[in-house]
Amino acid sequence: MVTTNAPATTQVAGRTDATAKWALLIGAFLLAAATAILFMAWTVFTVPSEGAGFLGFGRLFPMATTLTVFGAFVALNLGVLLFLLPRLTGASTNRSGTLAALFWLSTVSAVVGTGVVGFGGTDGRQGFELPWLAELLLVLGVGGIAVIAIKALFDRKEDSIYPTTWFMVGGLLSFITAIAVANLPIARGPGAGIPVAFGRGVVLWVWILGFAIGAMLYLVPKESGRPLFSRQVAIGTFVSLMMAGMFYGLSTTLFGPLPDWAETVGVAMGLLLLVPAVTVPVLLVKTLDGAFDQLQTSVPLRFAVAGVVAFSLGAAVSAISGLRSFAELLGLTTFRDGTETLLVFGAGILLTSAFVYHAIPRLTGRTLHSEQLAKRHLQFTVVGAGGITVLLWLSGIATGSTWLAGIKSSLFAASGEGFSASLTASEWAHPWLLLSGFILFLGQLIFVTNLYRTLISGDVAPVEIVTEVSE
Amino acid sequence: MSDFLTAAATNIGAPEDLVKRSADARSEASGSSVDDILAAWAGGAAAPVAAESPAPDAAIAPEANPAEPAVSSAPSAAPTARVVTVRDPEAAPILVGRRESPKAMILTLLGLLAFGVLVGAWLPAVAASQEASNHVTAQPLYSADAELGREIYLAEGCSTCHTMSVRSLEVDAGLGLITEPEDIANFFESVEGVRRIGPDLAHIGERMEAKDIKAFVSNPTFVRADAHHPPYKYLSADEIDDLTTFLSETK
Repeated sequence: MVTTNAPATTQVAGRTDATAKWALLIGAFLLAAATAILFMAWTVFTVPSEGAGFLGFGRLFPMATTLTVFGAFVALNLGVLLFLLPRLTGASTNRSGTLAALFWLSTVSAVVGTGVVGFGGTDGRQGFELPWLAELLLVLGVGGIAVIAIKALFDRKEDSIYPTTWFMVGGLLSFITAIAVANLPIARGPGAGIPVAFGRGVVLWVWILGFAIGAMLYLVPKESGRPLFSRQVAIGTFVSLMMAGMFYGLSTTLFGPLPDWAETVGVAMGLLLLVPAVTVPVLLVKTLDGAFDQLQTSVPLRFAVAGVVAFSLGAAVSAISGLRSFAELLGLTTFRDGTETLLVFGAGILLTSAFVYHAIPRLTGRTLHSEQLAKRHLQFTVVGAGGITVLLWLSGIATGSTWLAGIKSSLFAASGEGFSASLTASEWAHPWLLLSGFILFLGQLIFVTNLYRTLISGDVAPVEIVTEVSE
Repeated sequence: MSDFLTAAATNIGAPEDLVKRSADARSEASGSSVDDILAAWAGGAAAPVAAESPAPDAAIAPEANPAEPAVSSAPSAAPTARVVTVRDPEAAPILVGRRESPKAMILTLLGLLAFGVLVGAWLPAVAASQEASNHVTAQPLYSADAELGREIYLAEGCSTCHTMSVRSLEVDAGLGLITEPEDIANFFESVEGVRRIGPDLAHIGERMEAKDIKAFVSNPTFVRADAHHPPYKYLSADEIDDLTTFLSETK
């Protein structure tokens, strides 16, 4: 297999690339839809009397997270995989029809499942609200793709494995494992939440962020023309991310009815997040060393830098806020939601968008419609996700402090009227939260618009085609 | 060689120096002579096939200049050999991986996952459940109506905002007795919740009477003007009753 440049008018991309293109475009659209639903959720929370019929906060918020994690990021990650698989393995793409069918199965399951959540068809597992049938189909779809991807690895034409492959294959295997474990009835009572918490951590750190970082490790050398700083550091980053992700769930249940040793393991392993918090920016900066001027011209590189900053900050805060002394004050407040917003809607979106901006011109044979719109997308995402993050952090600190102050002064209890008082402490943030949510949504709308305009009216550019070399 | 080089460069439509450099790399990879390769590219006999076809990004010699395009061809496929394809200028040697077996990678990943599932999920879940299992009662904790109400509680996403777990922490001191494993021993689903945007409901049945719970769930802002609780006006009267029963039996 060779990667070639040829005029779009004279060559046709294989079906794998065609599916990759649609996966990235649909992923971007679902991301915009998810942020719109998130905005609606915060709206009905702030103005509940207006309501939205049967779509209350308790349904909208799970819809937004479900569509983001299982809809948008499944489509985007599969797009990344389908783009990179032939390019990193050089393996045959003769299963492209199966790959396309499995992609559609996964995406349609997630979207329909999200709709079912909106109609109250969920069992309330936080982060895994999709109905079991949708999750089963999703596992079948992603699992089938994982099998083909692994087979391609064994059929590959070259004898080296690029670090991005670790992130992709690890992400696929982890995603399937996370859903399987979260659905296993292995425990009851206080243990019932543990498998779900495990799944949540794995999906966040390995599926969303791991995949995004893996994609970044591919595009930064490609865009900058600089070799990856260190393969060992890259794989070490992945392993630490995976280990920390698998124990992240335990650190979210501190001071609950769990064995102390389990909580301690969760806290200790959570500190591993400090490793990728440091190594990911190191990989980026050292790889870009000598090519920083390209940040002026390369849209994907600018997104990658912003995404890495968001990731590093979010990972460091996650590691520290998992400590018991922090959890005493901030546990169960919106502080963790703020950090996860930074990681998913900040780092996840920015890093994955960087890859989309890199891949779409190569897949469509058209230059990006507007770099100005891409710049707005970056600004709006940073301001929107950053705004929500800071507001939820401040809101969490205010709420936790009010609970503590109320108890110490005997003025408040953390329920009834006392709880209302603690809510009042963070009410100032609600309008700003709405504004930030709207800006984040606008950013993703701009993203989709830019991609759509690229597809229909961008200037013709070389398309990157993977062709077979006869042996 | 220069004749072949010129002809190949003309045929390909690429600068001679690039064609020469690519032919050198191709020769090194395939073991055939540079002249043979150039002759093939010039439209002559097909060049010998490489023992192992190079991959797109990993195969270019590391010393090649990544900023310049390399040239490759499809030697034995006549139609594509005519349109000798120019490699993506950015497909540089920068993406060189390390020689390793995918089997080792897959096994490492599966090993890590197995360890994580065992220590991060299975053991803690089983340990917590074992303690709780000593307290599982043959007699259901909830009435049949309350069980229906619990399903509504989960389906409506109540645990998105509410917890049902009083922690052994000072900030939870006003919430009543600390939640012990036996308190939720009979639940297969997790009702503890992960955030407390609304108050904890672990002992809601002790704090509020059923009629007050029902009034609040039905029309929150009528009961408390500043309430952020959503109005469940779309739930039927029976569903509201079941939800109320579940909450009032949660003590």
